[in-house]
Amino acid sequence: MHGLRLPSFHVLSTRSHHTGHPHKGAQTSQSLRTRDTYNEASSEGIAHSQSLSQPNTGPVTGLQDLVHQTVNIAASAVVVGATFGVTARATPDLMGGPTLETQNNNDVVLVGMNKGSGFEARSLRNRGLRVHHVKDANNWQEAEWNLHDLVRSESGTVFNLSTTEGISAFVGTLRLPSAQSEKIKIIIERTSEDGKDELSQLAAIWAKAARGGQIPSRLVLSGHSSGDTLWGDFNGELLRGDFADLAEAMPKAAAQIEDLHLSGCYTGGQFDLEAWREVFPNLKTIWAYTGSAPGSYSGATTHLARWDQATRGQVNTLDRNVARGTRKGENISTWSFERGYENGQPPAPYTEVRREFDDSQSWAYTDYFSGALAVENPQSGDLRYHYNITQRLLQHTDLPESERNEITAHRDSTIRLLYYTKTIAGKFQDYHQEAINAGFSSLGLTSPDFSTLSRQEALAYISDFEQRFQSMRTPPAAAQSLLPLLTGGLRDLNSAIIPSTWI
Amino acid sequence: MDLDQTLSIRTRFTVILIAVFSCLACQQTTVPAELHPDAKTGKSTQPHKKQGAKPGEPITKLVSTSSVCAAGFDEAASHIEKQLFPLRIPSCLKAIGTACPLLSDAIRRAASNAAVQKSEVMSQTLYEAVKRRLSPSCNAVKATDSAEKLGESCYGKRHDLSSRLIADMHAGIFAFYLVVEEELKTKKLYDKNSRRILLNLLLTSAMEGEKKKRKKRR
Repeated sequence: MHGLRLPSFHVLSTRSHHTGHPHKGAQTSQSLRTRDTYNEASSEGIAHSQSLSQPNTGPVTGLQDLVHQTVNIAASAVVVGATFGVTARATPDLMGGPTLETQNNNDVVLVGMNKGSGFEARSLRNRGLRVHHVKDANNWQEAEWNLHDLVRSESGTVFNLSTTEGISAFVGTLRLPSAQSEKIKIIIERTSEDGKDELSQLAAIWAKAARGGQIPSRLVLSGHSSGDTLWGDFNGELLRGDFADLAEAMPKAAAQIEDLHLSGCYTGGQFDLEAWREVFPNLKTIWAYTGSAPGSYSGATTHLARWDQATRGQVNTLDRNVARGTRKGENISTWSFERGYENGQPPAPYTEVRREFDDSQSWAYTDYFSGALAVENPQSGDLRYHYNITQRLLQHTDLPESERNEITAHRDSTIRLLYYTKTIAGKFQDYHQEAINAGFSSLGLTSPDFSTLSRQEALAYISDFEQRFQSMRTPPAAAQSLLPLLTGGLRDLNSAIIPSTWI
Repeated sequence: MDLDQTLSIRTRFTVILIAVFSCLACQQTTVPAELHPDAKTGKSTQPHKKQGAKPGEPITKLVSTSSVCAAGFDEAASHIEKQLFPLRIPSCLKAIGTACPLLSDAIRRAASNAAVQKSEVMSQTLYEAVKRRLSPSCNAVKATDSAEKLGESCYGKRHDLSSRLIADMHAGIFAFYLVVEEELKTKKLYDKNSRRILLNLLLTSAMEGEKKKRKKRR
């Protein structure tokens, strides 16, 4: 156990679930009620729908989980004990904490970057909803800590996310496989200061899905925005890329999100909504704002109520007119599975979308395909823009049927190009390693390791291989087998050779 | 107390604080993270070096100017976010005008002047200050035109900014934003708080633009 000790400022406190307060095991139930009411039923942002004074009904799903939890919590208790002289014992009744048990898909996770998001969360709770309010640590931390990035785990332990050790220790409480934990740790580390606390709370909620459980399928992101960012006054900033990275690291959670409400200004452009659909692949509806959005106290709760009504249960459609006549209702844009993108304007004419596709193919796709440019982030940038335009073209009703197959193949190649460096090259190398070695050796060439080469370097190897192949009257069988894999697969990125599971 | 005063007093105070800590560094080799002016920004700038001070030299020479900028932007961002949105434009401009001595004179002067002007004149002042520094591919526009008229070839595909946000604001303000952002990045002064000041400027300007368009439609 001593080996698990952490430097003193990485883990700040443990909290008994019977009191809901760090250090203060003897707090009275009266003060508890006051605190709960004042802080919108809870104070830490992980699971807020359950009163902290209620008996623990935390999920202990099996002996293995129980043992795992015991080890984790006991380790935390030792750390805190060493730091503060707290003698909390980790026993199962302390572990479950406020649960994220979900009984239907009307539950909501509300990530609020501004203080006013508390009002938004309360308004949804007043409609009878279970709302998990993710919010700034400044709203609940002990005054003397004065730290931007804190998170409280299910067990009540408080972690300081401004240190690598604090992040590691927190991620350890999520009880996820080590490779996945490592990814989440890196994502939290690189998130901007004062945004780590909110992202970590979200990770804690999503961890349940990653472990095979159910999480709320409705997600509200509330804050100031200028497009792909979400920030709060006196708080940090989260980019769409941060959510995308977390979703990628926790795909089982991302797959459960069906309804997204972006309560921020200028979030509702078509490009932006397409980008969010990439983040959450099973989205059924999105609500956002092409212009300014109403503030927490000046209309946001009205819109949240209309959205709640429109997206309860399983829906595939969302009509922006449900908010007609409300303040800033004219700025709403929606996307839904059945109706597509709507912003109150007529859809862009085919000629305009086609021109944008052709233009972006010349200035975006070509350079990435040749390897002259490398994709830094598959979720953003020029090539991602071209991919989204391609999707928009495919969805356009005026696209001639004779072109549909060709554009579809182009779309499939483009998404593989977006992930070429990140996943495709490595998986191709792993899967075809023997064929690569045999094929190159059969032509007297050195076998490359495509997982370590840039696309430009890989294309040069493929070109050499092809030239040597064509110079031979009867190329060896190993080379004949490899050639279509290299040209059709790694070079042209055909979906028949590069499966979608590699993306 | 207006922002000018707040900044100058607080910045001076920060300079004195840093100087004191630098002096204390005779006994401790590093400034405690929580006391370092960059601690809040999460960015590391130049470390305080003992060897930088020669006997008799003014002690303020030990202070990294970029640290002063970081502290200035930090103070300014906090000040701006205490205000309601419509009031943030002049505060953002005042911050650009006064928070960082490393920004070019023309930028700071234009920002300070524009901060007290009305919308149209403000856009004109800002545009005049930066138009020669815009990319040659930018379209010639009036400062009060929609910023989208500058053309995508001017500002590139800004995947981070909503195209409607750009369309809602004056070209003069957006051009100013582009130049200041570039200068901050070039001078390695682009941190959480300077970014926050620029984002507030963008968002508030776009919201004001939207409001005017709505009034016109009525």
